[in-house]
Amino acid sequence: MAQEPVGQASPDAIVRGELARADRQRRLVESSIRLWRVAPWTAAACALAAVAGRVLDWPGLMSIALLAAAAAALAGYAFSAGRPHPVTDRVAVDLDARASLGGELRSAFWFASVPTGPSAQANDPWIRFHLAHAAERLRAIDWSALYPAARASREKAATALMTVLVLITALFVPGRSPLNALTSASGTETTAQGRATTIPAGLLPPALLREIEKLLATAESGKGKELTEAQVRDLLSKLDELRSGQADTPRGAADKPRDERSKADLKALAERARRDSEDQSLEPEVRDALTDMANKLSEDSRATTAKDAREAAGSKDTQQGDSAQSASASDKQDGSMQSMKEAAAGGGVGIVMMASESSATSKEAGLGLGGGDGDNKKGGSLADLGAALRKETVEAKADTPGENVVTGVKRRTEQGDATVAYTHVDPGAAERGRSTAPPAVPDSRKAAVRSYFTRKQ
Amino acid sequence: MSTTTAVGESIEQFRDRFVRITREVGRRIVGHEEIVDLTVTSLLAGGHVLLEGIPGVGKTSLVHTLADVLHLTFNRIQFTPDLMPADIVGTNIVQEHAHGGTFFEFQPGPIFANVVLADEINRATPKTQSALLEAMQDVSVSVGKTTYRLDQPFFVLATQNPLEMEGTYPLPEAQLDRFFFKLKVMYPPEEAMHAILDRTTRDSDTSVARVVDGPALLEMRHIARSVAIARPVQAYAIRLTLGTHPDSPYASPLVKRYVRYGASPRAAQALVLAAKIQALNRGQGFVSVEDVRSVALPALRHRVLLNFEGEADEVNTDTIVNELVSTVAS
Repeated sequence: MAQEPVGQASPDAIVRGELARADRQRRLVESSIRLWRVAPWTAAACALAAVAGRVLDWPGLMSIALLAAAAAALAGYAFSAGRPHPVTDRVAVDLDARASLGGELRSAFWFASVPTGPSAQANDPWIRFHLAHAAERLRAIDWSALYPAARASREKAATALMTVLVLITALFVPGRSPLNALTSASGTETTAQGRATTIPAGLLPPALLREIEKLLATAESGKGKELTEAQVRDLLSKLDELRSGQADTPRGAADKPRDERSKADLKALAERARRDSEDQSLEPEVRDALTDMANKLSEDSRATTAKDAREAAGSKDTQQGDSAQSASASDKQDGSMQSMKEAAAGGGVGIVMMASESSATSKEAGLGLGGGDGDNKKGGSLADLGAALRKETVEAKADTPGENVVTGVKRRTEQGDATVAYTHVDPGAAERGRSTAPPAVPDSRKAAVRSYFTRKQ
Repeated sequence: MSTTTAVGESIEQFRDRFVRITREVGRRIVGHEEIVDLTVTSLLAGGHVLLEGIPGVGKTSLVHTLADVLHLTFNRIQFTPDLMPADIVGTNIVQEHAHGGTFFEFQPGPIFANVVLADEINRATPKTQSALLEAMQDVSVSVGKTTYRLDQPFFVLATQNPLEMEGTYPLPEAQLDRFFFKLKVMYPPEEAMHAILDRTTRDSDTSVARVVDGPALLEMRHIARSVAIARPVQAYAIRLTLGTHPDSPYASPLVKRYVRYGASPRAAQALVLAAKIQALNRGQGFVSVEDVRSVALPALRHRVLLNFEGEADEVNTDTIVNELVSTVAS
């Protein structure tokens, strides 16, 4: 049977104290188990991120920072679990079951937690007996034996291994750009600058090139709000002037290597302009102007590529000795060829021979391969067809959609499934007099409407 | 002697007496230890017991033995369709004075005893059954304009046969609710059958000793009511009781489907009181959830009234209560 409480502490204080101690031990052990269950996976995720960072050329510090953040989160959880918490009835039930006390701890905890005073409960000998008995049993319980510390040796080893892997990957494994291994967040600026300096002078005059690059860099640096449509349009007009001037400028064979670089640079410039035109932070007018600039630069690049291909085909014909036909073909081969998809008509693919660059041989465009002769629009000769096919074959081999070919703008509605529905309309409702034109799209919304109906490429 | 020591001794004394009662009853009744335990529990709680079982399993013998062991007066009433209330509570009869003249004198019925066996209670008419109602609830009977108190302890053990339902009058809900426990006396197991035959077919002494008298029984009742019960445990008993109601948030799926009316607050009283006695019987001065669970079935099974669907599907209320015990959070 229970004896009177020993020492200074009352039975209810002993019950509360022992319960709080047991609860803290329980929470520490349980949180430790959970912690070591999660830690290896967290470290593995960090290691995976570090490897991905190397592949994607992220700064090495990012992986270390991620690892530190994960460790801090786990440490915070462990610290939170170790702090004193109020003991609830549910906690008392768990501890009671663990210690096999048959409900005595739960019951005693409730009586010990009820504020005593002049109530009959405080003077009830049965409650005092109950508390004294429970306190005596609680003091005899070794809670550290009931809640032994988690060993988790395998989890600890795995966590350590993954952590070392993260550190090695972040510090010693070079990425695609070894210089970026330990660089910090200024990487975006460096990348932007590097991209800007890779554009050499080619077809564009250096001054105009610098202006275009400066404008694009401004748009990419997050200060796009400062750009105005006038600035972009001004550059566009200069570009137009340059295009018209360059059409008549003869180029020698010495310019060919330089032109090769220029074509790629023009394409890169066009791609940058197109990317920037999709930046939602820019003004819609500026984005429209950037789109125009991208289109113009793309056209220049494409025209240069086609011209080179024709020149290559023409020289081959000459070597075969068919001088009469090759002379005639060379006039026609100077024209640029475009493959156009007549989406609205729903028809097939037509080939249009555009006017040649030479003013002497420039004729009205005609339908059919080898067309373009204003005097005789009977279609192309066999030599013309052969040359055009060779050229087409060369272009088709060289062109890869999305990389060096700017495909036409695709509409979201061009492949939509139409559903026909019939609605009864009163005769009066269809009167012409009652019909009204749809409201005009506000200027500020035009860019949004256009972007809604235009599929991103 | 300190108060806590006195409490400890009270618990020991209670447990000792309880064990002696059950052990002595067990000398004559074999194979029904749990029934004996719960019957004594009900007796100590001041409640009445409805025993249900097939004939010949020892229901009447149990009551006889209990009366012998407890040194209490015992009466048996065989309920039949023609039994009248006056046959139970007694009646006024005309007496003659020695010097002449007549007067009415109350002749007590068989209800005036400490232990009353109402055998086959469902064979009497509801009018006669209700005569037991006042006696069981108020421990008193009224004849004419006079109310007579019954002696304490007063304990009614009613039996009913679940097989022969022809010509019977099922107990009304109000009367069922007045029974503390409803115990189902099952057929004894094979091993117990050997012991029964050995004791009843030989010339052996099956007499029992009187181990506890009336005042000691009343003292045990007082001790049982002193046991402390924590509020969370009491809340569990309340949730169990409320869970028998189909519109309660604690109701289990079976309750919602098959139960028309749930248990009354008397069920919660029975749960707590019986749990206290079970705790004392285990030598504890507190009530645990397990104590409440251990008495949930006998305390709730007769207080759950099935609806038409439940009756049609022949649902057993034991199934419903067991499901409730397993679903209600402790």
